[in-house]
Amino acid sequence: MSDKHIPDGTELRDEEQGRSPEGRGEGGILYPRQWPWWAGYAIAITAELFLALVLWLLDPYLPLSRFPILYILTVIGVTYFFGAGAGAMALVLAFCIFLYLSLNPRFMPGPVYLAGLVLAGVILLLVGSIAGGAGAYALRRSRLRIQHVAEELMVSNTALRDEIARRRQVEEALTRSEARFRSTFDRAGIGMTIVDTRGTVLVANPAFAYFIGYSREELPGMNVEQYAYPEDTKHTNKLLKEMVEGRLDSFQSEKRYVTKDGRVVWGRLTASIARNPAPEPPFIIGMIEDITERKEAEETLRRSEEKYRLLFENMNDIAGIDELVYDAAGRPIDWIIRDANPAFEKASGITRDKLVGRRITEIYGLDRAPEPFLNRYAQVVSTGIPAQFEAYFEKRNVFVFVSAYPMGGRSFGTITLDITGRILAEQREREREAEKLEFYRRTIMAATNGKLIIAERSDIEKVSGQPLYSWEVRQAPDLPILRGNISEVARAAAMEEEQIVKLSIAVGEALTNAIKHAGGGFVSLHKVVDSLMIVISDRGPGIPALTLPDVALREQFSTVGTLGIGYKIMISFSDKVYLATGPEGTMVAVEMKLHPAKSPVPDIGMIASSNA
Amino acid sequence: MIVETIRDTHLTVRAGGDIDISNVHDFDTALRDAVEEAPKGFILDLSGSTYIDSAGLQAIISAYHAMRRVEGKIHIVVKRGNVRDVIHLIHLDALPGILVYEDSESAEQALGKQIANGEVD
Repeated sequence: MSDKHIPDGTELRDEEQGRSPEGRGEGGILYPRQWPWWAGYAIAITAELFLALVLWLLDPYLPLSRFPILYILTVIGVTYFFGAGAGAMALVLAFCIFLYLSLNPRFMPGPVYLAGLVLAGVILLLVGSIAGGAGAYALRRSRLRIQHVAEELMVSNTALRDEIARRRQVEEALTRSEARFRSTFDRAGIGMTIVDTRGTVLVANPAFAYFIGYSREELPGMNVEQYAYPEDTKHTNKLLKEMVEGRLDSFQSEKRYVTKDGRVVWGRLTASIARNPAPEPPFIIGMIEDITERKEAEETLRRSEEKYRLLFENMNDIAGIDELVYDAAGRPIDWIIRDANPAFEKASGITRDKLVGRRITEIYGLDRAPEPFLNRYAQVVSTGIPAQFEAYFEKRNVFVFVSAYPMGGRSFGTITLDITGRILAEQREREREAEKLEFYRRTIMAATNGKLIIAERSDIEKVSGQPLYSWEVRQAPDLPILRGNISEVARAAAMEEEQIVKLSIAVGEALTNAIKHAGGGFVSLHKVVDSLMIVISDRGPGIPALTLPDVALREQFSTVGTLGIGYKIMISFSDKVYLATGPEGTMVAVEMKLHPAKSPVPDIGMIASSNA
Repeated sequence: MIVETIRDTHLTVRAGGDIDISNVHDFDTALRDAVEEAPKGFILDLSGSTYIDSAGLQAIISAYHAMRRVEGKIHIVVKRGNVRDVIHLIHLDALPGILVYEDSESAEQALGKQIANGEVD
């Protein structure tokens, strides 16, 4: 197309150049525009007078036959200079004079002839002047009209030239734009097609050909449906139809395409319609951006999100996403539930729509957010470190195990397990354990005639009260010294000598245990009513509960070892032994009355044997 | 505590004073040597000891176990008092390989008889 248009333009320019000088010479020799209006009259009168004078000077008797020639010459001259109107007048005038003179063939020269000539001249002058004036007027009129027409022509000519120039510019612009379009079309990274209203491909660019896997030559003539993904065509076809019917100018749609080798790819189609002047059918320009990767990434993300959503929805654990609420001073005071899973709904008995977007205080009608939770959540949010904790939720009377995770900003996620069952079981277990211990305690007490009392540290501390003396025991050589010290104090407290020896033996065993099993401990001496009490505590591993019956009851020393012997001695040689033992260590209190009981001390051997 | 080993007609381990965890090592060593030297039987003279704790008793029990393997006997001399009470308390005197006497003469007689007859009633 461009090949044709450019020479056309050149031709037009040449034509214009050729015409221009002619167009500019308004009037020319025929239309002496610059002459004043009376010029015609003046020339006509001058010509008449000059003619009459010449005639008279040459030959006053000039034969009349010559007059027509002269007049004809005059008429020709007038006509030549002033146009047909003036020429016709001059002809009529000449004919009148000729007629007058012809009617008097023998007209004698002399005053009459002269008078006739003058008269003829006057008439000629008058008529010629009138004729000349009329002719000049007509001439002027016609000249003005011509000038007007010429001006009009000139104006329209200019307009036409301008129009031509404008069109050429437009055409050039179009040409340039088309060239640009074509270049864009060919080089664009985005796929582009031009299809007709029936969906037949007119042209496709290399990017689209690459995208769809067909060659550029294969595509024209193909129908878009040939490479469309069947499920997506319905929607696109509807939009295309609307566009063809003029209800839509353009649309965008993300759709799938099937490549030549059968792969399914994703493209974002931007289709717009180009409406041509009436007879020309419109065509559709399609731009297809390859969004396969994005779609695949989206799909992966969606699947993964769906996976987590499914997990969230179906997990039996209570899961929620929450947001911390702070007061004006920046202290955490509450939290808002942003999402809750069905397990949450089930556990709380509150539907999701009544949970989401509400504060915990609002949901459960609390005055304040439960602190054990609030503090840990605030910690998770501020440190960004996940936390796990057990807490009791008073409002619902449940024990829960919560895993809280930071989720950015003030948000955090929680997975909550209702561990009420476990906690209650543990409590029951502890109770059973306590019962068992109580059973041992009572059994042991009964078996030892109330001499070995399994107790708590606090019980011992309560019974013993403030110490009179206290010592530290670290190693074996401290033993005799300590026994000596205790004996001295006992003597000072007026304890009977027999008792002092027994006490010394019993305390010796407790001290031996502390050294052997805990590497030392603390010893304190207390005065309790009519007794002395020596408390020996250590931080050793403690005595397992199950060995207590052995310690207290077994007769056979071989299996019990020193510990059993020690306790047997302690129990036998004192009035009462309190034992508190646990992982935090062992506390033994040996109590000895200042004066022996009235009733005879039972045979020490009997204690064990009678209960064995 | 003072511990000494007397090699007369019979082997006698004599321990005096307090026997407790602080000195039980020497006591234990003496007993072990005695078991080795006189596997048939020896005398453990505790008449001079004022105190024996569970550690000391444990040493005697260990010696008893060693003697049981060779069917020997330990003849213990101990006076009435705390030490004897303790020994009685834990039923040491009820064990078949341990014999308790109040004086050393009885012990020596019994041991001599045991070695002569190979048995003691």
